[in-house]
Amino acid sequence: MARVVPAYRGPQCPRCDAVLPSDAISSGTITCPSCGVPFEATAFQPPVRPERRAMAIEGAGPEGGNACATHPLNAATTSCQRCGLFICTLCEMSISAGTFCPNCFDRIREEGTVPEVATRYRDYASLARLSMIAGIVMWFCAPIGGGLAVYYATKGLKQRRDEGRSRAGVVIVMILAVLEVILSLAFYVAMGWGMFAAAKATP
Amino acid sequence: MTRSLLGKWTSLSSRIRVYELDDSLEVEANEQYEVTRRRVFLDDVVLVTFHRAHGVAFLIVTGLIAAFFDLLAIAMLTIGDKDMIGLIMVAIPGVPATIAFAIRAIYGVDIVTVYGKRSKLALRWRVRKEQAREVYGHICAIVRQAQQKRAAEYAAEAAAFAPATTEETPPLPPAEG
Repeated sequence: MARVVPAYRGPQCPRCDAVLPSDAISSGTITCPSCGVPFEATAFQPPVRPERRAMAIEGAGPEGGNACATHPLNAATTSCQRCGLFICTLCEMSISAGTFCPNCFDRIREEGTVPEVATRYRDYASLARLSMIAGIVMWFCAPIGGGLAVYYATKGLKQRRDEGRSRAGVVIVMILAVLEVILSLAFYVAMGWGMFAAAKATP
Repeated sequence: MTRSLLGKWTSLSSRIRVYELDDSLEVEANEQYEVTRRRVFLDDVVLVTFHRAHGVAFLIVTGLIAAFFDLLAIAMLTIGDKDMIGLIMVAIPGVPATIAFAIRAIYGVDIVTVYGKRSKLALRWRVRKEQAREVYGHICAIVRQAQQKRAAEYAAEAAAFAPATTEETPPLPPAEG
């Protein structure tokens, strides 16, 4: 069953989650009007962005400019780096990877190709750990579990390096996974050798 | 973009890490084998709060477990049971629950919550209270700094987009004497 996440409605009481009225938001000790319990707070006034007006198409240049693909009355100020669409200042989505139109921005976010805008991804280090443990618990599947753990650990190492996090845990998992594969293969070889020898010895 | 760890919290279902970025605070939540990432932008922050909670549900659960095993062990001692191994076996499962209950009841959990215009995040500390206070101060400082910087940028932007001044008004005619 899908979990319903309540919509965020602005600053709340950290104890009872009741939405704080705007006049109750201040610096110092705030007493929640709902639960009556005090808590310490620091209030801020976020700056409001001045209204940005897109340049009208008449004003785009002496010879006239290109129109925005979505807003035909606005002059295009740039083009999307992914699809080449002309876009105005209203449509422009500028991130470190470049400037995109809203549609391409949604697509690259879904694809997860730009880590900066990815909001959901797989944790390969955890998968490597799980595969290694599954291989040990189900020992007859150890070569498969160990192999998967090595594969995921390799991806996990790259992921951790990109994120700038410690790779020690992943390295340990990888060493254990390699040992798991070697030992399980040795076990299977020894077992096969023993069966072969027993069959040979039987008259 | 530099990322520095501000705090982490592990619960039964998830592991949460909060990082400081140049322009925002980033929350990474490990749920099973997927990581969900979201941000609270510093120039969007409206309120930062600090409070101490004890967690009633946690206290009830650990308290019941601790009480069950500890009372059982005390009952065995009271009736003069000579089986020390049995007594230890009964008492041991209650020890972690008793310690967890005592630590939570004495120290509580310090919680720093950051409320933005569109999202919020919370950082929790079980034991290191000084660090909680430091991080609260640090967050307030970087939010203030980021908002001042952004306000200056917006002011410059507004000045650049302001309409050109109209022609100078002509001088007044000389007064007739």
